[in-house]
Amino acid sequence: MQRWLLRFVVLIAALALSGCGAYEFRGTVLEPPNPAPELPLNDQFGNEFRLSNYRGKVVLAFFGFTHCPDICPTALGDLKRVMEKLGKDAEKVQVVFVSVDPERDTPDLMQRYLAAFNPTFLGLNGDRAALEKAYKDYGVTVIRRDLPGSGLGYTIDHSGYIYAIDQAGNWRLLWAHGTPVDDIVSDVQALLRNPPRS
Amino acid sequence: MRRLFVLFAVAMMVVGLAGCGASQSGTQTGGITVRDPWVRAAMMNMAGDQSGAMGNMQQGNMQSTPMAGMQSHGNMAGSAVSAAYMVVVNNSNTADAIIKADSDVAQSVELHNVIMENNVMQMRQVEAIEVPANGQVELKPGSYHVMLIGLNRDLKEGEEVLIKLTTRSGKTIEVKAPVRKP
Ligand SMILES: [Cu+2]
Repeated sequence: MQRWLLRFVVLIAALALSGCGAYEFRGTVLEPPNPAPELPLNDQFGNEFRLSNYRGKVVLAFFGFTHCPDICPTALGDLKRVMEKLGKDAEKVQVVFVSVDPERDTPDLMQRYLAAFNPTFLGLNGDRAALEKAYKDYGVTVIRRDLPGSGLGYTIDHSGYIYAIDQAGNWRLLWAHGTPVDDIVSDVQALLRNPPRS
Repeated sequence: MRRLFVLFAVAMMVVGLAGCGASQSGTQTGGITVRDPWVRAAMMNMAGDQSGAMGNMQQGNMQSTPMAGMQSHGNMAGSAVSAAYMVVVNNSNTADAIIKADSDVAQSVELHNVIMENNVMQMRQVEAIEVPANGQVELKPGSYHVMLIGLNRDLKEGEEVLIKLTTRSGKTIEVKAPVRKP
C-alpha cells in the first residue's frame, strides 16, 4: 500500500514538473542572455533605426541581401508566415533584415524587395564600420566573392541564422536556416508569454 | 465464379497494358522534359539598371539620375534579380545536362547553385546542371536555379515567364513558368 502511494506521488510530481517546467525552446538558446548589440543603422525609408527603441517588442533579425534571390527570400518568406501565424501578436514583433551587401542594397531596392513580403519589415543599412561591427557582434559570416563571368559581378556568402531579441533587449535565441515556421512561431509565443523582467 | 475470374483476368491485362503504355510514352518523348516550373515574383529597381550600375557611388544618393555609358557589364549593382525553379526529367538512357538558359525578362540568365556549409550560404554560377540518364534534377530554393539578373520588367504573381533551356545534346526546351509569390 505504501509503495503504491509512493509511486503515485512520484508520478504526480513528475507531471507537475513537466507541466510547470520551463518551456523548451526549439531554437538554440543563448545562456545567459546578454544585451543584444545595438544596430546603429538606417531603415529603407531613411529613418534612423535603434534596437533600443524596440523595448517591449520581440525583434527577429536576419542578415541577407537583395541580390540573393534564393535563400534570403526563403528566410523572409518564412518570417512572413511567422507573422501571419502570430495573428494579433505580430504587433509585438518587429522583423529586421540587415544588409550584408550595403553597396547594392539601396533604399529603393530594399523597399521593393521587402514590400513583397511584409510592409512592416525593416531593411537596415548603414556605414561600413557600423555594419561590420554588427556582423562581428552577431557572429555573422560575410564574405564577398567575385563571380567572374557572371552578370552579378559578385555575391556574398553569408550565415543563414534568424536571431531573436526579447522585450528587454536581450539576445535570446537563434534558429538555423530551414527551421520549421511552426517552431519559430512557438518560440516567439513563448517569449511573448513570459516577458523578461527588465 | 468463373465469370468473376475472367473479369479479373481482363482487368489485370488492362492494367498491364496501361502500365506498358505509360512507360512507352515516357521513352517516346525522349531526352529532357520539364515539369512544375515557377519563377519567384520580384520588382524592378525603380531607377532602372543604368543608375544602379553606379553601385557604391549611389549610396546615400537615391536621386542619382540614370547615366548613359555608366553601365558596365559584369556589374548589375542595384538591379533586381529573381530565380526560376523546375524539375528537369531525363527520359533517355544517356546522361544529359542543361548548359544554357535564356529569357527576355532579364539581361543575364545564368545557371546557379547554392551550397550550404556550416549554415553559411554560398551561391555560385555553374557551367551546367547535370541530368542523369533516366533520372531527374530538381531546381529548387537552396539548390540549383536559373538566375535572372537585371530584370527588364516586374514579375507579378499570375504572369508567365518564357524560359528557353539548351541541353548538351543540342535540344532546346521552351518552358512557360508561372510567377509565384516570394
Ligand atoms: Cu543565383
